[in-house]
Amino acid sequence: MNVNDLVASRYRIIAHVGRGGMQDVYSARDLLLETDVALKTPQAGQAARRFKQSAILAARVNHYNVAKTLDYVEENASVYLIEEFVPGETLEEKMNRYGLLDPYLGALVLHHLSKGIAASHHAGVIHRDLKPSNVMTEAGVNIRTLKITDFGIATLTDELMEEAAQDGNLTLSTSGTIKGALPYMAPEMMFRQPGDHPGPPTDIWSLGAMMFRLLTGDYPFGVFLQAAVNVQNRTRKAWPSFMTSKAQFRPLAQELQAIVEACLSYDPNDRPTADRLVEMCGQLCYSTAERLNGTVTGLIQNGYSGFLTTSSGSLFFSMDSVYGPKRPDQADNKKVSVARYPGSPNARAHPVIVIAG
Amino acid sequence: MLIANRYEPTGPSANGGMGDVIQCRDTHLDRSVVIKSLQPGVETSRLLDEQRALSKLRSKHVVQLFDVVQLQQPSGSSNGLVLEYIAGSDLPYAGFTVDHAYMRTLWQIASGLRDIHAAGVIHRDLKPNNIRVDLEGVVKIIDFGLARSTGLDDRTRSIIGTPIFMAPELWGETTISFSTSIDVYAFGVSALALVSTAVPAALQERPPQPVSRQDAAAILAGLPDHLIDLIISCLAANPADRPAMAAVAAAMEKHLLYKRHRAIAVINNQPKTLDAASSSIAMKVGSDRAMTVRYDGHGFVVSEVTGPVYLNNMAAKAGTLIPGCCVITFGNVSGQRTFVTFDISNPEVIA
Repeated sequence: MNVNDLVASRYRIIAHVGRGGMQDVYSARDLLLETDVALKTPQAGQAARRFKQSAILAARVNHYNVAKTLDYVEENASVYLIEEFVPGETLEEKMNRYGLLDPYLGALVLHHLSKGIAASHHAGVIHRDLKPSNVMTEAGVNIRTLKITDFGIATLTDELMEEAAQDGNLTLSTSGTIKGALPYMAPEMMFRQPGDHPGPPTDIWSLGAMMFRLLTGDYPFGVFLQAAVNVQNRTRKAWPSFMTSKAQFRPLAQELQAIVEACLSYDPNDRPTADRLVEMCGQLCYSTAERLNGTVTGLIQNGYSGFLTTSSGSLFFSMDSVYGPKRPDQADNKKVSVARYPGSPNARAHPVIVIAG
Repeated sequence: MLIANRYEPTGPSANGGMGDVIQCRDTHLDRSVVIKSLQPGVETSRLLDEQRALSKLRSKHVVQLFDVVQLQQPSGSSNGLVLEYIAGSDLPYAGFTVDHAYMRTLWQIASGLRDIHAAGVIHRDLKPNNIRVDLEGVVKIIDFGLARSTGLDDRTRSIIGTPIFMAPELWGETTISFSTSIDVYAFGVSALALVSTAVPAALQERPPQPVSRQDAAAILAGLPDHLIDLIISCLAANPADRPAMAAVAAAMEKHLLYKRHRAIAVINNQPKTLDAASSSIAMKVGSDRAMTVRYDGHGFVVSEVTGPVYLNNMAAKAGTLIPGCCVITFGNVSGQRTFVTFDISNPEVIA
């Protein structure tokens, strides 16, 4: 596929935006409805029939937090899935830049993703490959829109994992898709026997593992084969102390830790259902205040507080409001994400999170 | 016989008022879709208006347009819109009692109309049977058959709404310019019709007459007064007196959060929680500085202050509403100071 290629007399290719283990992803312009869409097509060697089956499955899910399946076309011996497109970045890309999410944003992400997963489970669709790179969101310091993508490859993933399990040990697979999924993969999926078909709780484990990563910046069990070893030995990393060291953040951080730990129960029956997660998240209190990019301009009171500039003026901040392992300064840690509250003579920043430039 | 070589009709065509509605199965994705066509002789520009309106919206409360097809009918060809099928049910007339579920539904409808209006579109035929609730409980506003973009050919004398939901100005003899306020009026009537089929007689006159507060309050008994007043204001005879849907949605969201906020005050590195169950906190520093804060269900308010106390460096007084996050400072810069952080949050209301 090349830029400006036209598919089905309707979708004009804008750019190649990604390559999963099984499909190429392009952004395209829908000339009929004048909107931008994602266009996916299987890579060479992937059976078109399976691709269609996965598209049909994905099309059963209709929820705001799941990328909508818009169209499926076959043309000139090629097949294409057209999906809702969110301009911005994936949660994986966001992690690369922001490192981790504070409890407020973490609670929001958990809440919205739980709703999307609940809707898909109601429709009888299991994702099986939930990970930060499969969640689209807007670029920048705010997170308001979250859309889970690649529900479509659920069947492909399942067949792939079934095949790998047939071959003996899924965790030794050389498949890029399986390797990429391992850090978030439930134990009953990792160590499945031929004929096993792990159910909805496998998504709940993956959501828990993903939230651990988003909240701590680290993988709960490591990556690649190390993840399999640690899941088998039940050696999950400990929660970092910064999550609970500041009293302001402690109550919500502890609530989130408890939910994530429940999701990471080894017995699938001990994990909350997606519906139960939605209920629990509906009780969480978190701030949805708009975030701003800030730059630290100076520290006062022996470094206990300071000032930073944003597009909405200069803000005062206290070190008590700083969340995360990094302490803001005027050198390497001067870029921050903050919310703004009224104050005199300066508005107050809270929370304050150091981000990569 | 497939439509556009793809869509297979699956049921009898239902006459949808302004156009035919054909239930179909999309053979490409094996899912239900709805194809809406205009009956022969009806202006096709309206159909294209609907298409433009829908494609502009990316709202949780609006159905997705998938495709536009040519329909071959005995009388000739016409355009058909292929729309997402929403499994679920239409909102029932008189199907609600005034409770949390009713408020949540009104909030969702108001949010949908807010989004539609933000996109510059007027629905023009809002009523409970144009509002569906999907299987996830999300309200979808459907049937934009009469929707037009604001400012674009929106002057018309034709009366094509559904009588009881039509604003008084639509009954006049003079040419009127449609505005979003006709949807606000229809929202107000819908709010009553969802609770009772016996809507006030004044609203059933042609043109409708102003509804008395007593009549509206009888139906809406159980809502706080300010929300009853808000719904009555949606029914104002003068369109300019009706609120914007964004304001209506905001007021309803605020009500849904009543008594659900939480504040965390950190004193000596220990978090203390303030909420509906534990709604007051008295903080005292030494013998000369103190402040009491009470939660009134909507916000956290300073009820008493002794000595110099500051909120984000602004002097605290009895009656001050505490900002969302603040540092409370007990004492003046010149003396010994004690700091308490105070952070307010609430559950996120999501449709």
